[in-house]
Amino acid sequence: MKRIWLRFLSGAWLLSPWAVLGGIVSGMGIGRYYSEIAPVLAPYGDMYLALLKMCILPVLLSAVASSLANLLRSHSSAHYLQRMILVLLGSMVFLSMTGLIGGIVGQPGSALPDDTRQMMTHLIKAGGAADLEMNFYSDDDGIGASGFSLLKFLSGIVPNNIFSSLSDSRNLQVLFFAVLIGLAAGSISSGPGAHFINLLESFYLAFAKIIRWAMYLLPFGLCCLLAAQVSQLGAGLLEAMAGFIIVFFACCAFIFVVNTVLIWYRTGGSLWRIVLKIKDPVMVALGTRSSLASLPCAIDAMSTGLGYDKSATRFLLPLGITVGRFGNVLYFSLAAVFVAQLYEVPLDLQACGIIIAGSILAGMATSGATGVLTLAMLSFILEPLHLPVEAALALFMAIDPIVDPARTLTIVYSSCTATALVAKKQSEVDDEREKEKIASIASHPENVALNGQA
Amino acid sequence: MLKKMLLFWGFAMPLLCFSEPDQEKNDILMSHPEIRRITERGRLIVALTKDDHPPFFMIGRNGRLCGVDVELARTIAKELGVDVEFNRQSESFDMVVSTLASGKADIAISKLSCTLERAKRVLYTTPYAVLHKGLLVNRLELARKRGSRGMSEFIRHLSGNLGFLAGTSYEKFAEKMFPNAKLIPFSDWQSTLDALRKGELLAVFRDELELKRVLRADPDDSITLQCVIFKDTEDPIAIAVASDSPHLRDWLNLFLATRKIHWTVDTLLDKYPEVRTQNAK
Repeated sequence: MKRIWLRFLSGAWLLSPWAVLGGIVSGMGIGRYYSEIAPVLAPYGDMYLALLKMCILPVLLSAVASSLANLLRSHSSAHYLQRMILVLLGSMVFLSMTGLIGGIVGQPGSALPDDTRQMMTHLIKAGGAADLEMNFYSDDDGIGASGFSLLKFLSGIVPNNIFSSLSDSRNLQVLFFAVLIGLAAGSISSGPGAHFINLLESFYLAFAKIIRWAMYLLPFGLCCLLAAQVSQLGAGLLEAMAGFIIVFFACCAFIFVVNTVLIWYRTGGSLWRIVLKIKDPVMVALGTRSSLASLPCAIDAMSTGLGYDKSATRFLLPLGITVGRFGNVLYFSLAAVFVAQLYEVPLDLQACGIIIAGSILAGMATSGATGVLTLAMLSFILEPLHLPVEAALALFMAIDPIVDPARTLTIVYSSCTATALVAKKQSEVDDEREKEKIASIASHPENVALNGQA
Repeated sequence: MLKKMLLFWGFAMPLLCFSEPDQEKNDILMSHPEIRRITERGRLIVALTKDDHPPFFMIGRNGRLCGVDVELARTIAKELGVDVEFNRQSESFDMVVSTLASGKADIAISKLSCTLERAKRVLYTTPYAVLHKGLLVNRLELARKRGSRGMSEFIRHLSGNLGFLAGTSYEKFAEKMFPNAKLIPFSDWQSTLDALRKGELLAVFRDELELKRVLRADPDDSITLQCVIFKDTEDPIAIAVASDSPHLRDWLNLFLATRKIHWTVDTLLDKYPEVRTQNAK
């Protein structure tokens, strides 16, 4: 009896998948059936979300910089970087093709019944896209060119003041800065360099600890967040865009299965163990709808949980989540097919090529954008296809609260998979290091004393 | 104290009641001569055009005249304490102004636009409604023609097939505003819209009211069509008053200001949803 109480007080049960599932179910139940309680819970959900978001930038900066420096010193960075770029590109092409094929097979936008189109019209009107007000004789109304250019995107990556990038959460700029710092710290001489890298690493470990504590509160946090989200969903939205939502969810489910199988294949062991370890980032992604908020616990799950090379996961996961916006790539390619079907424009091979390339570029461009701006990147694909953007954008914005969790999950989970495909196991890395050590000792016996001191 | 007050009112009340008609007569005598003319006649004569212009004025389902202008006229008459009489002999908007100028009506509330030419002959109140010019655009055609140019930039230098109704003032406006567009006249509104939906036209040029009415009438249209309203092409609609009645005009201005009467196309269409289904030419 006493032991059971002790176990209860230790809080370990809060980390079990059943507690997390309980939090999700109760949150959805409260949102759906007791929506009057939801506003009371919402502030606590926001507090929890703020706690997770607080750790994003420190983790992004310290994890990327310290791990890159470590990789550089162990001479495995080039190997990882090459493979990561290949895997990132390959998986983005795979995701955008999934969206394209899903759209062509699922036909979410063609031959819609009249009442569905009527409901869409309501959404368009509610989104303010039914009419545009502009000045004819003067051009001071601010409706300028909304165009997105590659040069603008590239020039936005380099920060001119890292502190203002940090305080404005411009993640891509922070990533750029972290990569540079990591490269520099890895290439300066080992004495002072090691101190700096150790500092960054302990900084990272402290935040990882905070995140691990925060995971104890995950069931409550999810309950509050989901109650608030579910209570705000309208049933009308679901009906109007049901086709698109169903096809998108089906694509995400397909990708989810592919990811799980790939991680299972790479990791080995039982499927249940993988589910158990990977549940935290998955649930945080679904509940917070923020891919970066799930970054710290994703790193923890992949390195400590599934035993991948620590330095590699700390470098590859942030890279995957910020640059390879897998969920958005999938979403954009499906959305482009949907709009083409809505306007009854047939897609030829060239158009399919534009969709695949455009959705990857637009997806990557969203790494610097948040909220509404994310969806606005859709114009980057639709403009070369000569499809109208405004009406479709209003539709997508209306259903975004429903679709966003699946998109975020796809980003986080696919990044985990990409990391699993690229990174070695920690045990392999340790073995290699051991061998290297032995080899160096064998060739330079005088180093033994130095190594012992270090 | 209470007793005293009761006593006072007991005496005062009958006195007040008796003095009221006299007071009213005094008020009329002391009011402005233009307003006195109306109150003595007991009727406010309001000029309107012969044709209906919904939702400003039209014959309703019950056969009675109704609409924003008609309601406005009735409220003004009620405020003046007189009946209202509608003079609908004028063939056109300019004729309404002539009717007013020749003294056959007191005021004109007839969807009258303020133009400098008309203002030479009559007085205008402050506008009670503002309409704009606009385009109804085929979204798909627009996306094809626009490329990566900005929306407002493209529309200011519109090139492509632009439809309009022949014989309206919009022909001249179109020539002036869209010199690069290919102007295509249409004889009726329905075939203009059909051509627009088929993509034969890039856009249709007309007033905001008619354009927004199209989008409200056919729920399917917001996906394929978009309304573009030019905010700086204002067409103010005001009450016209005979040029010898400046005090009546001042009184009407005060009336419009205190009642906060200011219509936009959206509020008009919200108030009179039934006109959506009428397919006006």
